[in-house]
Amino acid sequence: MNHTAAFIWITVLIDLLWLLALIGLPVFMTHMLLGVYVPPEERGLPQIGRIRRKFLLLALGGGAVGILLAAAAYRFSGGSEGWTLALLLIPQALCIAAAWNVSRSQALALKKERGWTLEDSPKRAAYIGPDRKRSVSGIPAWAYLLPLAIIAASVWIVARNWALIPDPMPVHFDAAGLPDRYQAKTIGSVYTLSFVQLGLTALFFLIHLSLGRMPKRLDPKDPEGSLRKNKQMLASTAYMLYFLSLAVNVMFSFMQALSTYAFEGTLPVGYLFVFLLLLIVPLIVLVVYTKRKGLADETVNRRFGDDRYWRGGLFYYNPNDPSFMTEKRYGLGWTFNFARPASWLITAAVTLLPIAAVAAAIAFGG
Amino acid sequence: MFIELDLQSEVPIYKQLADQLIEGIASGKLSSGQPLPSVRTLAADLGINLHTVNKAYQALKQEGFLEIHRKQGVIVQPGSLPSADEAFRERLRRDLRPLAAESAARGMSEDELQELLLSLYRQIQNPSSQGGTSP
Repeated sequence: MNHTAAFIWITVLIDLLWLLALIGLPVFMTHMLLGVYVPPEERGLPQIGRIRRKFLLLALGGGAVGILLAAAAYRFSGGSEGWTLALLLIPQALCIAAAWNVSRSQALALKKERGWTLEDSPKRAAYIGPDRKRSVSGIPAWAYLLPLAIIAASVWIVARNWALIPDPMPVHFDAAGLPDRYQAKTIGSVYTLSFVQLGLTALFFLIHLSLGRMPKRLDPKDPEGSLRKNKQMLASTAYMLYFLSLAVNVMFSFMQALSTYAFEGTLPVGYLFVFLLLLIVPLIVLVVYTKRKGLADETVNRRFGDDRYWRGGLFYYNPNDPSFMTEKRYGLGWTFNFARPASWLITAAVTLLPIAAVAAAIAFGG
Repeated sequence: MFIELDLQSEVPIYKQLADQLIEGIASGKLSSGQPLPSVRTLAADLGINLHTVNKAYQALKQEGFLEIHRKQGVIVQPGSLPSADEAFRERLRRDLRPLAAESAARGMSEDELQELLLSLYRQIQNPSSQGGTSP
Protein backbone atom coordinates (compact mmCIF):
# COMPACT_ATOMS: atom_id res chain seq x y z
CA MET A 1 0.00 0.00 0.00
CA ASN A 2 1.52 3.37 -0.85
CA HIS A 3 2.07 6.11 1.62
CA THR A 4 -0.91 8.30 0.72
CA ALA A 5 -3.40 5.45 0.67
CA ALA A 6 -2.12 4.18 4.02
CA PHE A 7 -2.37 7.65 5.54
CA ILE A 8 -5.98 8.00 4.36
CA TRP A 9 -6.95 4.60 5.79
CA ILE A 10 -5.32 5.37 9.10
CA THR A 11 -7.01 8.78 9.23
CA VAL A 12 -10.39 7.21 8.52
CA LEU A 13 -9.87 4.66 11.28
CA ILE A 14 -8.71 7.29 13.77
CA ASP A 15 -11.66 9.49 12.96
CA LEU A 16 -14.15 6.65 13.32
CA LEU A 17 -12.79 5.89 16.77
CA TRP A 18 -12.75 9.59 17.67
CA LEU A 19 -16.39 10.07 16.63
CA LEU A 20 -17.45 6.81 18.21
CA ALA A 21 -16.05 7.94 21.54
CA LEU A 22 -17.31 11.53 21.39
CA ILE A 23 -20.75 10.85 19.93
CA GLY A 24 -21.45 7.18 20.49
CA LEU A 25 -21.09 7.16 24.24
CA PRO A 26 -23.50 10.04 25.00
CA VAL A 27 -26.04 8.70 22.51
CA PHE A 28 -26.08 5.09 23.67
CA MET A 29 -26.11 5.51 27.40
CA THR A 30 -29.68 5.23 28.62
CA HIS A 31 -29.10 6.13 32.24
CA MET A 32 -27.64 9.53 31.44
CA LEU A 33 -28.81 12.22 29.06
CA LEU A 34 -25.80 14.31 28.10
CA GLY A 35 -24.39 13.95 31.59
CA VAL A 36 -27.75 14.46 33.33
CA TYR A 37 -28.95 11.54 35.46
CA VAL A 38 -32.29 10.04 34.38
CA PRO A 39 -34.18 7.96 36.97
CA PRO A 40 -35.08 4.48 35.63
CA GLU A 41 -38.83 5.12 35.56
CA GLU A 42 -38.36 8.24 33.40
CA ARG A 43 -36.18 6.72 30.70
CA GLY A 44 -38.98 6.08 28.25
CA LEU A 45 -39.97 9.73 27.88
CA PRO A 46 -40.26 10.87 24.24
CA GLN A 47 -38.57 14.19 25.04
CA ILE A 48 -35.42 12.30 25.94
CA GLY A 49 -35.28 10.61 22.55
CA ARG A 50 -35.78 13.95 20.86
CA ILE A 51 -32.94 15.63 22.74
CA ARG A 52 -30.64 12.69 21.98
CA ARG A 53 -31.48 12.71 18.26
CA LYS A 54 -30.91 16.45 18.07
CA PHE A 55 -27.50 16.00 19.68
CA LEU A 56 -26.69 13.25 17.19
CA LEU A 57 -27.57 15.48 14.22
CA LEU A 58 -25.61 18.46 15.55
CA ALA A 59 -22.62 16.25 16.38
CA LEU A 60 -22.62 14.59 12.97
CA GLY A 61 -22.73 18.06 11.47
CA GLY A 62 -19.63 18.85 13.48
CA GLY A 63 -18.07 15.68 12.13
CA ALA A 64 -18.76 16.82 8.57
CA VAL A 65 -17.23 20.24 9.29
CA GLY A 66 -14.04 18.53 10.45
CA ILE A 67 -13.87 16.35 7.35
CA LEU A 68 -14.28 19.36 5.05
CA LEU A 69 -11.61 21.33 6.89
CA ALA A 70 -9.26 18.36 6.85
CA ALA A 71 -9.71 17.86 3.11
CA ALA A 72 -9.01 21.58 2.56
CA ALA A 73 -5.98 21.41 4.85
CA TYR A 74 -4.61 18.38 2.96
CA ARG A 75 -5.00 20.18 -0.37
CA PHE A 76 -3.62 23.55 0.66
CA SER A 77 -0.76 22.35 2.83
CA GLY A 78 0.51 20.00 0.17
CA GLY A 79 -0.31 16.81 2.02
CA SER A 80 0.89 17.75 5.49
CA GLU A 81 -0.24 14.96 7.83
CA GLY A 82 -0.01 17.12 10.93
CA TRP A 83 -2.25 19.85 9.61
CA THR A 84 -4.75 17.40 8.15
CA LEU A 85 -5.21 15.51 11.41
CA ALA A 86 -5.25 18.71 13.46
CA LEU A 87 -7.95 20.30 11.31
CA LEU A 88 -9.89 17.06 11.38
CA LEU A 89 -9.92 16.19 15.04
CA ILE A 90 -9.84 19.56 16.77
CA PRO A 91 -12.76 21.24 14.94
CA GLN A 92 -14.76 18.01 15.35
CA ALA A 93 -14.11 18.00 19.09
CA LEU A 94 -15.01 21.70 19.38
CA CYS A 95 -18.23 21.30 17.39
CA ILE A 96 -19.26 18.23 19.35
CA ALA A 97 -18.51 20.06 22.62
CA ALA A 98 -20.77 22.90 21.45
CA ALA A 99 -23.48 20.39 20.51
CA TRP A 100 -23.06 18.83 23.95
CA ASN A 101 -23.58 22.18 25.64
CA VAL A 102 -26.69 22.98 23.64
CA SER A 103 -28.28 19.57 24.17
CA ARG A 104 -27.23 19.43 27.80
CA SER A 105 -29.01 22.70 28.60
CA GLN A 106 -32.15 21.18 27.10
CA ALA A 107 -31.61 18.08 29.22
CA LEU A 108 -31.19 20.21 32.36
CA ALA A 109 -34.41 22.08 31.56
CA LEU A 110 -36.23 18.75 31.24
CA LYS A 111 -34.71 17.59 34.50
CA LYS A 112 -35.97 20.70 36.27
CA GLU A 113 -39.42 20.25 34.78
CA ARG A 114 -39.65 16.59 35.81
CA GLY A 115 -37.77 16.85 39.10
CA TRP A 116 -35.16 14.17 38.52
CA THR A 117 -32.79 13.53 41.38
CA LEU A 118 -30.33 10.97 42.73
CA GLU A 119 -29.88 11.78 46.36
CA ASP A 120 -27.93 9.60 48.71
CA SER A 121 -30.36 7.42 50.63
CA PRO A 122 -30.06 7.17 54.43
CA LYS A 123 -30.45 3.41 54.03
CA ARG A 124 -27.50 1.11 53.51
CA ALA A 125 -27.15 -2.57 52.60
CA ALA A 126 -24.20 -4.94 52.53
CA TYR A 127 -23.72 -8.69 52.10
CA ILE A 128 -21.85 -10.53 54.83
CA GLY A 129 -23.03 -14.04 54.02
CA PRO A 130 -21.30 -17.33 53.74
CA ASP A 131 -19.71 -17.08 50.32
CA ARG A 132 -17.97 -13.72 50.36
CA LYS A 133 -14.98 -14.15 48.11
CA ARG A 134 -12.31 -11.62 47.41
CA SER A 135 -12.02 -12.90 43.86
CA VAL A 136 -14.20 -12.44 40.82
CA SER A 137 -16.10 -15.37 39.36
CA GLY A 138 -15.53 -16.36 35.75
CA ILE A 139 -11.80 -15.89 35.25
CA PRO A 140 -9.52 -17.55 37.82
CA ALA A 141 -6.20 -15.90 38.60
CA TRP A 142 -4.20 -18.75 37.05
CA ALA A 143 -5.82 -18.00 33.68
CA TYR A 144 -3.27 -15.21 33.37
CA LEU A 145 -0.65 -17.88 32.89
CA LEU A 146 -1.83 -18.09 29.27
CA PRO A 147 -0.76 -14.55 28.27
CA LEU A 148 2.53 -15.25 30.06
CA ALA A 149 2.87 -18.43 28.02
CA ILE A 150 2.34 -16.42 24.82
CA ILE A 151 5.12 -14.06 25.86
CA ALA A 152 7.42 -16.93 26.81
CA ALA A 153 6.74 -18.67 23.49
CA SER A 154 7.57 -15.49 21.56
CA VAL A 155 10.80 -14.98 23.49
CA TRP A 156 11.83 -18.55 22.75
CA ILE A 157 10.94 -18.38 19.04
CA VAL A 158 12.84 -15.11 18.61
CA ALA A 159 15.84 -16.65 20.37
CA ARG A 160 15.73 -19.68 18.10
CA ASN A 161 15.67 -17.42 15.04
CA TRP A 162 18.24 -14.97 16.31
CA ALA A 163 20.44 -15.37 13.24
CA LEU A 164 17.61 -14.32 10.94
CA ILE A 165 17.15 -10.97 12.66
CA PRO A 166 18.62 -8.15 10.55
CA ASP A 167 21.39 -6.02 12.04
CA PRO A 168 20.71 -3.12 12.37
CA MET A 169 17.04 -3.94 12.91
CA PRO A 170 14.06 -1.65 12.18
CA VAL A 171 12.51 -0.17 15.30
CA HIS A 172 10.04 2.35 13.91
CA PHE A 173 7.80 2.37 10.86
CA ASP A 174 5.92 5.05 8.95
CA ALA A 175 2.31 5.00 7.79
CA ALA A 176 3.03 2.76 4.80
CA GLY A 177 4.87 0.20 6.92
CA LEU A 178 8.34 1.20 5.75
CA PRO A 179 11.05 1.39 8.38
CA ASP A 180 12.30 4.88 9.17
CA ARG A 181 14.51 4.17 12.20
CA TYR A 182 17.03 1.47 12.86
CA GLN A 183 18.89 0.28 15.93
CA ALA A 184 21.75 -2.09 16.57
CA LYS A 185 20.63 -5.65 17.21
CA THR A 186 21.02 -6.22 20.93
CA ILE A 187 19.07 -8.22 23.53
CA GLY A 188 17.52 -4.93 24.66
CA SER A 189 16.35 -3.75 21.29
CA VAL A 190 15.14 -7.16 20.08
CA TYR A 191 13.21 -7.84 23.27
CA THR A 192 11.83 -4.34 23.86
CA LEU A 193 8.33 -5.49 22.94
CA SER A 194 8.63 -8.45 25.30
CA PHE A 195 9.22 -6.09 28.20
CA VAL A 196 6.23 -4.04 27.12
CA GLN A 197 4.16 -7.22 26.98
CA LEU A 198 5.23 -8.17 30.49
CA GLY A 199 4.42 -4.73 31.84
CA LEU A 200 0.99 -4.62 30.22
CA THR A 201 0.11 -8.15 31.32
CA ALA A 202 1.12 -7.28 34.87
CA LEU A 203 -1.13 -4.24 34.70
CA PHE A 204 -4.09 -6.26 33.43
CA PHE A 205 -3.51 -8.84 36.15
CA LEU A 206 -3.38 -6.20 38.88
CA ILE A 207 -6.63 -4.70 37.66
CA HIS A 208 -8.17 -8.20 37.62
CA LEU A 209 -7.12 -8.74 41.23
CA SER A 210 -8.45 -5.38 42.34
CA LEU A 211 -11.89 -6.05 40.82
CA GLY A 212 -12.85 -8.47 43.57
CA ARG A 213 -11.65 -6.19 46.30
CA MET A 214 -13.74 -3.17 45.37
CA PRO A 215 -16.37 -2.05 47.92
CA LYS A 216 -19.79 -3.48 47.12
CA ARG A 217 -22.32 -0.84 48.02
CA LEU A 218 -25.65 -2.46 47.34
CA ASP A 219 -28.96 -0.83 46.45
CA PRO A 220 -30.87 -0.68 49.79
CA LYS A 221 -34.16 -1.08 47.93
CA ASP A 222 -33.17 -4.47 46.49
CA PRO A 223 -30.01 -5.86 48.10
CA GLU A 224 -30.33 -9.35 46.58
CA GLY A 225 -30.84 -8.17 43.01
CA SER A 226 -28.14 -5.58 43.48
CA LEU A 227 -25.66 -8.22 44.64
CA ARG A 228 -26.46 -10.43 41.67
CA LYS A 229 -25.96 -7.57 39.21
CA ASN A 230 -22.76 -6.55 40.95
CA LYS A 231 -21.33 -10.04 40.46
CA GLN A 232 -22.40 -10.03 36.81
CA MET A 233 -20.78 -6.65 36.24
CA LEU A 234 -17.51 -7.72 37.79
CA ALA A 235 -17.46 -11.08 36.00
CA SER A 236 -18.13 -9.54 32.58
CA THR A 237 -15.45 -6.91 33.17
CA ALA A 238 -13.02 -9.66 34.16
CA TYR A 239 -13.77 -11.51 30.91
CA MET A 240 -13.24 -8.37 28.84
CA LEU A 241 -9.95 -7.62 30.56
CA TYR A 242 -8.78 -11.16 29.94
CA PHE A 243 -9.56 -11.10 26.22
CA LEU A 244 -7.88 -7.70 25.94
CA SER A 245 -4.77 -9.06 27.61
CA LEU A 246 -4.72 -11.98 25.17
CA ALA A 247 -5.32 -9.73 22.15
CA VAL A 248 -2.64 -7.25 23.21
CA ASN A 249 -0.08 -10.01 23.73
CA VAL A 250 -0.85 -11.72 20.42
CA MET A 251 -0.62 -8.35 18.66
CA PHE A 252 2.75 -7.50 20.13
CA SER A 253 4.12 -10.98 19.48
CA PHE A 254 3.08 -10.63 15.85
CA MET A 255 4.69 -7.21 15.59
CA GLN A 256 7.84 -8.53 17.20
CA ALA A 257 8.05 -11.41 14.75
CA LEU A 258 7.33 -9.22 11.73
CA SER A 259 9.94 -6.66 12.69
CA THR A 260 12.69 -9.13 13.62
CA TYR A 261 13.28 -12.56 12.13
CA ALA A 262 10.28 -12.44 9.78
CA PHE A 263 11.01 -8.94 8.53
CA GLU A 264 10.54 -8.69 4.77
CA GLY A 265 11.11 -5.03 4.04
CA THR A 266 7.82 -3.63 5.25
CA LEU A 267 5.48 -4.10 8.18
CA PRO A 268 2.08 -5.18 6.83
CA VAL A 269 -0.05 -2.39 8.18
CA GLY A 270 -3.20 -4.36 7.44
CA TYR A 271 -2.52 -6.55 10.46
CA LEU A 272 -2.58 -3.53 12.71
CA PHE A 273 -6.12 -2.73 11.64
CA VAL A 274 -7.18 -6.27 12.47
CA PHE A 275 -5.62 -6.02 15.88
CA LEU A 276 -7.16 -2.64 16.59
CA LEU A 277 -10.51 -4.25 15.91
CA LEU A 278 -9.58 -7.07 18.30
CA LEU A 279 -9.04 -4.45 20.98
CA ILE A 280 -12.19 -2.49 20.32
CA VAL A 281 -14.61 -5.40 19.97
CA PRO A 282 -14.34 -6.64 23.58
CA LEU A 283 -14.95 -3.09 24.81
CA ILE A 284 -18.03 -2.70 22.65
CA VAL A 285 -19.30 -6.13 23.67
CA LEU A 286 -18.95 -5.16 27.33
CA VAL A 287 -20.80 -1.87 26.80
CA VAL A 288 -23.64 -3.63 24.96
CA TYR A 289 -23.83 -6.43 27.52
CA THR A 290 -23.89 -3.94 30.39
CA LYS A 291 -26.74 -2.07 28.77
CA ARG A 292 -28.71 -5.21 27.89
CA LYS A 293 -28.61 -6.62 31.38
CA GLY A 294 -29.29 -3.26 32.98
CA LEU A 295 -26.03 -3.42 34.89
CA ALA A 296 -25.03 0.21 34.45
CA ASP A 297 -27.27 1.31 37.30
CA GLU A 298 -25.49 -1.11 39.57
CA THR A 299 -22.23 0.76 39.27
CA VAL A 300 -23.70 4.18 40.04
CA ASN A 301 -22.01 6.29 42.66
CA ARG A 302 -24.79 6.09 45.23
CA ARG A 303 -23.33 8.63 47.56
CA PHE A 304 -22.47 11.53 45.27
CA GLY A 305 -24.14 10.57 42.01
CA ASP A 306 -26.41 13.61 41.74
CA ASP A 307 -25.83 16.07 38.91
CA ARG A 308 -24.98 18.93 41.21
CA TYR A 309 -21.65 17.32 42.04
CA TRP A 310 -20.67 16.75 38.42
CA ARG A 311 -19.61 19.79 36.37
CA GLY A 312 -20.59 19.40 32.73
CA GLY A 313 -21.79 15.96 33.73
CA LEU A 314 -18.18 14.80 33.66
CA PHE A 315 -16.04 16.30 36.41
CA TYR A 316 -16.61 15.67 40.11
CA TYR A 317 -16.52 18.92 42.06
CA ASN A 318 -17.57 18.78 45.71
CA PRO A 319 -16.00 21.20 48.20
CA ASN A 320 -17.89 19.52 51.03
CA ASP A 321 -16.25 16.17 50.41
CA PRO A 322 -12.83 16.06 52.08
CA SER A 323 -11.84 13.09 49.91
CA PHE A 324 -9.40 13.58 47.12
CA MET A 325 -11.02 10.91 44.97
CA THR A 326 -14.48 9.40 44.70
CA GLU A 327 -16.06 6.52 42.85
CA LYS A 328 -16.74 7.20 39.21
CA ARG A 329 -20.22 8.40 38.44
CA TYR A 330 -20.89 5.25 36.42
CA GLY A 331 -18.64 2.30 35.89
CA LEU A 332 -15.82 0.85 37.93
CA GLY A 333 -13.00 2.95 39.25
CA TRP A 334 -12.28 6.29 40.82
CA THR A 335 -12.00 9.87 39.67
CA PHE A 336 -10.54 13.05 41.11
CA ASN A 337 -12.42 15.51 43.29
CA PHE A 338 -11.62 18.70 41.40
CA ALA A 339 -12.53 20.84 44.41
CA ARG A 340 -9.18 19.68 45.85
CA PRO A 341 -6.30 21.73 44.39
CA ALA A 342 -4.06 18.65 44.41
CA SER A 343 -6.28 17.11 41.69
CA TRP A 344 -5.56 20.02 39.39
CA LEU A 345 -1.83 19.65 39.98
CA ILE A 346 -1.83 15.95 39.20
CA THR A 347 -4.04 16.34 36.12
CA ALA A 348 -1.79 19.15 34.86
CA ALA A 349 1.32 17.06 35.47
CA VAL A 350 -0.09 14.02 33.70
CA THR A 351 -1.18 16.01 30.66
CA LEU A 352 1.60 18.60 30.43
CA LEU A 353 4.64 16.46 31.18
CA PRO A 354 4.33 14.27 28.06
CA ILE A 355 3.73 17.41 25.99
CA ALA A 356 6.80 19.04 27.58
CA ALA A 357 8.84 15.90 26.88
CA VAL A 358 7.80 15.93 23.23
CA ALA A 359 8.52 19.65 22.94
CA ALA A 360 11.96 19.17 24.49
CA ALA A 361 12.69 16.29 22.12
CA ILE A 362 11.78 18.47 19.15
CA ALA A 363 13.74 21.43 20.43
CA PHE A 364 16.88 19.55 21.35
CA GLY A 365 16.65 16.72 18.82
CA GLY A 366 17.23 19.17 16.04
CA MET B 1 -27.08 -12.65 54.81
CA PHE B 2 -27.61 -8.92 54.30
CA ILE B 3 -27.06 -6.13 56.80
CA GLU B 4 -29.52 -3.27 56.32
CA LEU B 5 -29.00 0.00 58.14
CA ASP B 6 -31.02 3.17 58.51
CA LEU B 7 -28.75 6.12 59.18
CA GLN B 8 -31.68 8.30 60.18
CA SER B 9 -33.00 5.89 62.80
CA GLU B 10 -32.95 6.75 66.51
CA VAL B 11 -31.08 3.52 67.09
CA PRO B 12 -27.30 4.11 66.87
CA ILE B 13 -25.69 2.55 63.81
CA TYR B 14 -23.35 0.30 65.76
CA LYS B 15 -26.31 -1.07 67.69
CA GLN B 16 -28.29 -1.74 64.50
CA LEU B 17 -25.29 -3.67 63.20
CA ALA B 18 -24.74 -5.61 66.44
CA ASP B 19 -28.45 -6.43 66.74
CA GLN B 20 -28.60 -7.78 63.20
CA LEU B 21 -25.51 -9.88 63.71
CA ILE B 22 -27.00 -11.44 66.86
CA GLU B 23 -30.25 -12.06 65.02
CA GLY B 24 -28.24 -13.73 62.27
CA ILE B 25 -26.64 -16.03 64.82
CA ALA B 26 -30.02 -16.75 66.45
CA SER B 27 -31.69 -17.60 63.14
CA GLY B 28 -28.80 -19.69 61.91
CA LYS B 29 -28.19 -17.46 58.92
CA LEU B 30 -24.74 -16.95 60.36
CA SER B 31 -23.33 -20.36 61.07
CA SER B 32 -20.86 -21.34 63.75
CA GLY B 33 -17.31 -20.39 62.81
CA GLN B 34 -18.41 -18.47 59.71
CA PRO B 35 -15.98 -15.73 58.70
CA LEU B 36 -17.29 -12.17 58.64
CA PRO B 37 -15.96 -9.27 56.54
CA SER B 38 -13.09 -7.29 58.02
CA VAL B 39 -13.85 -3.98 59.70
CA ARG B 40 -12.46 -2.04 56.75
CA THR B 41 -14.34 -4.06 54.12
CA LEU B 42 -17.70 -3.90 55.87
CA ALA B 43 -17.30 -0.18 56.56
CA ALA B 44 -16.53 0.46 52.87
CA ASP B 45 -19.47 -1.65 51.74
CA LEU B 46 -21.88 0.09 54.10
CA GLY B 47 -20.38 3.51 53.52
CA ILE B 48 -19.94 4.16 57.25
CA ASN B 49 -17.01 4.96 59.50
CA LEU B 50 -14.84 1.97 60.35
CA HIS B 51 -14.89 2.89 64.03
CA THR B 52 -18.62 2.24 64.00
CA VAL B 53 -18.14 -1.25 62.61
CA ASN B 54 -15.29 -1.82 65.04
CA LYS B 55 -17.48 -0.81 67.96
CA ALA B 56 -20.13 -3.35 66.96
CA TYR B 57 -17.59 -6.12 66.45
CA GLN B 58 -15.83 -5.37 69.75
CA ALA B 59 -19.11 -5.32 71.67
CA LEU B 60 -20.05 -8.74 70.32
CA LYS B 61 -16.58 -10.07 70.97
CA GLN B 62 -16.87 -8.96 74.61
CA GLU B 63 -20.12 -10.86 74.93
CA GLY B 64 -18.62 -13.95 73.32
CA PHE B 65 -20.60 -14.01 70.06
CA LEU B 66 -17.61 -13.30 67.83
CA GLU B 67 -13.95 -14.15 67.84
CA ILE B 68 -11.35 -11.82 66.38
CA HIS B 69 -8.09 -13.44 65.31
CA ARG B 70 -4.96 -11.78 63.96
CA LYS B 71 -4.83 -13.96 60.85
CA GLN B 72 -8.28 -15.41 60.31
CA GLY B 73 -10.00 -12.10 61.02
CA VAL B 74 -13.49 -11.95 62.46
CA ILE B 75 -15.48 -15.16 62.79
CA VAL B 76 -18.73 -16.18 64.41
CA GLN B 77 -18.14 -18.03 67.70
CA PRO B 78 -17.11 -21.53 66.63
CA GLY B 79 -17.56 -23.05 70.07
CA SER B 80 -20.52 -22.75 72.39
CA LEU B 81 -22.37 -19.48 72.43
CA PRO B 82 -22.73 -17.43 75.63
CA SER B 83 -25.53 -18.73 77.82
CA ALA B 84 -28.55 -16.89 79.17
CA ASP B 85 -26.79 -16.39 82.50
CA GLU B 86 -27.87 -14.32 85.45
CA ALA B 87 -26.15 -11.20 84.14
CA PHE B 88 -28.02 -11.51 80.85
CA ARG B 89 -31.34 -12.15 82.58
CA GLU B 90 -30.77 -9.07 84.70
CA ARG B 91 -30.17 -6.99 81.57
CA LEU B 92 -33.22 -8.54 79.90
CA ARG B 93 -35.46 -7.66 82.85
CA ARG B 94 -34.11 -4.15 82.87
CA ASP B 95 -34.64 -3.62 79.13
CA LEU B 96 -38.07 -5.26 79.01
CA ARG B 97 -39.46 -3.49 82.05
CA PRO B 98 -40.33 -0.18 80.37
CA LEU B 99 -41.93 -2.04 77.44
CA ALA B 100 -44.00 -4.18 79.80
CA ALA B 101 -45.03 -1.08 81.68
CA GLU B 102 -46.14 0.77 78.60
CA SER B 103 -48.04 -2.30 77.37
CA ALA B 104 -49.91 -2.44 80.68
CA ALA B 105 -50.54 1.30 80.62
CA ARG B 106 -51.97 1.00 77.14
CA GLY B 107 -54.30 -1.76 78.24
CA MET B 108 -52.66 -4.68 76.47
CA SER B 109 -53.58 -8.01 78.02
CA GLU B 110 -51.06 -10.50 79.41
CA ASP B 111 -51.92 -12.99 76.67
CA GLU B 112 -51.49 -10.44 73.89
CA LEU B 113 -48.09 -9.44 75.22
CA GLN B 114 -47.01 -13.05 75.59
CA GLU B 115 -48.22 -13.91 72.09
CA LEU B 116 -46.36 -10.96 70.60
CA LEU B 117 -43.11 -11.92 72.28
CA LEU B 118 -43.48 -15.58 71.33
CA SER B 119 -44.23 -14.79 67.71
CA LEU B 120 -41.08 -12.65 67.52
CA TYR B 121 -39.03 -15.42 69.09
CA ARG B 122 -40.40 -18.00 66.65
CA GLN B 123 -40.02 -15.71 63.67
CA ILE B 124 -36.35 -15.25 64.41
CA GLN B 125 -35.78 -18.95 64.74
CA ASN B 126 -37.61 -19.59 61.46
CA PRO B 127 -37.59 -23.02 59.78
CA SER B 128 -35.09 -22.01 57.07
CA SER B 129 -32.29 -22.01 59.66
CA GLN B 130 -30.39 -25.22 60.52
CA GLY B 131 -32.18 -25.84 63.78
CA GLY B 132 -31.41 -22.54 65.47
CA THR B 133 -28.58 -21.87 67.81
CA SER B 134 -30.19 -21.00 71.10
CA PRO B 135 -30.41 -23.63 73.84
